[in-house]
Amino acid sequence: MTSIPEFMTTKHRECDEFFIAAENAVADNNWSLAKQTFSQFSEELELHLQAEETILFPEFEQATGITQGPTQVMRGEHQQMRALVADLLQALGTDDKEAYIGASETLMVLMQQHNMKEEMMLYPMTQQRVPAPEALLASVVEHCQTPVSS
Amino acid sequence: MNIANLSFSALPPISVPFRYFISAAIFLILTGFLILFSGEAVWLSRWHPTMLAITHLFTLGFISMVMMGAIYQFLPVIGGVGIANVRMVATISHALHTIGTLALSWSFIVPNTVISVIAMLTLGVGFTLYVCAVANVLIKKLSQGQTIIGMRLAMLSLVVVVTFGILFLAQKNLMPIELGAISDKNFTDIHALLGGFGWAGVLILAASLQIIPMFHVTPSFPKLLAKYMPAALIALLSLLFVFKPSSTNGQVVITLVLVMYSIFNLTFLKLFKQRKRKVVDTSIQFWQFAGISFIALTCLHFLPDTWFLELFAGNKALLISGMFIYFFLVSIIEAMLLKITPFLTYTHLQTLCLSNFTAMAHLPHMHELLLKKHGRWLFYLHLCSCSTLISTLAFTQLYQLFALTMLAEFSWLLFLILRCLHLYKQSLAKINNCV
Repeated sequence: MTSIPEFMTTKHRECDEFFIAAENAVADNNWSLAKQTFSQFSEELELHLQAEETILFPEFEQATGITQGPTQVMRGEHQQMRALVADLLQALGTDDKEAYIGASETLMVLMQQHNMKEEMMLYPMTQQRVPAPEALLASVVEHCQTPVSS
Repeated sequence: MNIANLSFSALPPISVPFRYFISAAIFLILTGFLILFSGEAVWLSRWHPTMLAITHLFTLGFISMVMMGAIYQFLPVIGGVGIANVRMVATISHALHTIGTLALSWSFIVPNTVISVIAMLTLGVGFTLYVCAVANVLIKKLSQGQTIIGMRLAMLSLVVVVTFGILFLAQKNLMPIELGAISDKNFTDIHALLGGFGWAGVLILAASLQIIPMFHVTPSFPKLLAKYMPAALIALLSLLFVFKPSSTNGQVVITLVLVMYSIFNLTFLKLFKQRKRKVVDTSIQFWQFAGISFIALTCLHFLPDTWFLELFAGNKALLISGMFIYFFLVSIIEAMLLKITPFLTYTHLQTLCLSNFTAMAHLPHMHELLLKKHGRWLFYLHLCSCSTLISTLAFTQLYQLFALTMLAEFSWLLFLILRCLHLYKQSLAKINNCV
């Protein structure tokens, strides 16, 4: 049976794949492919962020009693990522390669250091601390398979 | 896993890492001037007093300086816990480290007991404060990643290296303290080998286990390498206390260390080849250059001493250590600076925008904070100074050429860091006006 850290880490890698596909398409000036893969990336990312904010983090907070600590920082970083996704979308709209690559480099580094904190600490702790990790995982999996609702 | 101390928000003030990065670039500009005016004789032996000063300006003034500054930033990300009283610790330990490095280098060139004692005290107290502050975080039950384990081993090496350094200074200046065997040149070699392959090498290895797959989106390092290589390297280096570096067994140990590092270098070169991102990244070129250089220096190590007689005046040790410091360590540190400097600036500014999203319009992206072409020029300048270093090691009369190319490279690096800081201040003012 997959654990919370394994599932969420796999989701991070899937997001990376879409992100790179979009960036590579921009690097090749293939804007239609870039728009298509970017849309997959932003949808996958939003599902992931929502799963954390509405399911995973509240469970962690309830199990540990910590509401103003790591999860608050993670929520703040999610907002930063969403702002960069909006910048990327704007660059895609105007076929602005330089603006896109500048923002994508920034988002990539921000996303990776964010993922590092989650994969190395937050997810393993959630798995250890929540009373029913299997049920929590099932909710997260279900959420990640539903279409994005903003 | 202990979550009581967990604080992902423990980002140190931007002035903390930046003071280290700026000082590091200034130290190598000073080193460039020192080389320029020190004459040709310096290049004849690694034991020449000015060469010892130059070596320590590189190892303490640049390599350790940047790594110490980066650790303040890296710990909260990989361990979830920042250093307590970070501003105070950074202010005192950075000031003492700077004074100590200058005093030590000065005391090599112009032997003076007072200056040596100042070096001993400032470096001793500065390192003690820094190591205690970092150890206070590392001893906590953090995430159990291999990077944290590697960092612990690197810090352990640093403690031994600094202790040896302080003992050497004490023995030289506080006679009649009798330290017996410590005066043996083999201990100086252990000090150097542990500094290069233990403190700097293992820290780079441990950090790269995280940094390379994540920031460059490559596959992960093989599990066996990640799990066992840092500990195996430290175990091998510890054997040098049993087998003197000059003995046959000691030479076998050194060879094994070089072979293990070559495996690490070959592995990351392979990982970069498997990288999926197509966007050209200068920091990867620095990494690749470092990796290839390390394999080259290992090959040189296997050549018989006689081979070096004609081309490098028999100075094999100086050639290999020069390549290790300048081609390998300095290249990797510049690769990291190209990533860390703009990202730190960006992340500090963006945190300020969280409460006011309209301010995000004033937020520069990483490529605006450090232009890609500026990073490329740094790489070309580095290639240039590396070629003049090799030429100087072969034909010592070319030392001024090396000094000039080095001055160009590190003045440029200083400009890039200061430009980033200037843009930070400019954007900060705009964001504050918005708020």
